[in-house]
Amino acid sequence: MAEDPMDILMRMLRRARMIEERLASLAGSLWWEYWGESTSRLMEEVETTLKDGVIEPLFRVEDLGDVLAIIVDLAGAGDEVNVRVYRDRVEVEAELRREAVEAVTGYTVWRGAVRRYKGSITLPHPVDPSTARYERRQGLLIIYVDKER
Amino acid sequence: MIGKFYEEEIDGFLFREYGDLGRPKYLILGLPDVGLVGSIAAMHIVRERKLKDAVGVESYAFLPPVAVVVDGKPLHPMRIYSDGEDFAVLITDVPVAPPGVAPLGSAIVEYARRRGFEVIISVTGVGSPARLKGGEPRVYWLATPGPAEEIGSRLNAEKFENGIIAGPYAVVLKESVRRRMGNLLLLVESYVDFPDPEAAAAALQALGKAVGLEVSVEKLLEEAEHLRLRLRQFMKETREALNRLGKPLEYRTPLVYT
Repeated sequence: MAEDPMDILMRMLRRARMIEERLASLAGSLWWEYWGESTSRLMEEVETTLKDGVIEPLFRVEDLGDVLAIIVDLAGAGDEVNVRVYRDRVEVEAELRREAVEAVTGYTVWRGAVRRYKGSITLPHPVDPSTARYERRQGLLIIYVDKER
Repeated sequence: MIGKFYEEEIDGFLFREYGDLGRPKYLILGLPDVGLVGSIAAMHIVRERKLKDAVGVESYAFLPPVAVVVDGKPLHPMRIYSDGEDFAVLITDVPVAPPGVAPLGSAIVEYARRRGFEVIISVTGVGSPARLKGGEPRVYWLATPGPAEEIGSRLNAEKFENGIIAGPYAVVLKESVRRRMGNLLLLVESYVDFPDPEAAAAALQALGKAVGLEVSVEKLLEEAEHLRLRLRQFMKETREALNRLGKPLEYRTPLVYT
């Protein structure tokens, strides 16, 4: 007896759905391949934040020829900033202002967790720490330091 | 009560319409990119103009498996808000995995075409050393021929004549040309690695001139520092994604020159 065309159609649709699901799971593993490593790193930072109340500031290094400019985003930090410039790296530490902490701790998981910035960056070129000068603008800290000759 | 909704799958992304999208003319994109300029501008429009959440965009393959919770309500990580008449805004709380960027760009353009949008407006940052010196962010524009170009010419800003655009907005631009959809791209000078609310404010002021989108940026500028702190983690995630998307290509000149 010939098969009902509707059954054939349903079977084809089920197969199509299976292929679609397999492709989706393959793409899902691709997702993990792309994000897995960075997600693990970001999670480590989150653990540090929750344990010590510390968040790592965002850094950027600009090569200005003879000088390196290290820009640190210290949005919400108080006036006092601890900066240590070494030949190969820069370390920065600053307390967050209370009202800034309140502004970002609306999220349940951060409530009461964040207190200060702490972080360091490795420099792409050795520098002479004695030449470091500083500038603060709109929550940014800019450190200019001469490259080692 | 179970509400009515309509679902449509395009290029691996599911568009789930549960609110009133209406027939807006413009779709403003706030995809995470340089300085999170588009994301911040889009979020500010939603907040200031009290747009309504109308469409959830989902992909279990290309978006992380997350639900965003706002005021106790679970939401899709990527959503389209609408005023039902002129403006709809797409925002996302998560960066798209690099393999999903091309399908997403293509899906957005196709969805906009099917829903009868006239122009997609892409807002993004373009890294500039001038921003680090505290300069006012300049706005550049680029558009597909037709209505989008006409809107761009009203901006009284410099046209982006030569260069390379990389990332999700490049896909949206190319797919718009292919599908004959209007696309206006606003590029605002911004910080590369830090969220830049000031650049987003400049983009919003440009949008006001171009399409009559009235949004006060006073609050945005007042809260700029707090926003940067709030978006720090999102910026980190976005930076990771952009590095994998060939973003550094934007900083070299094209092979063809005039």
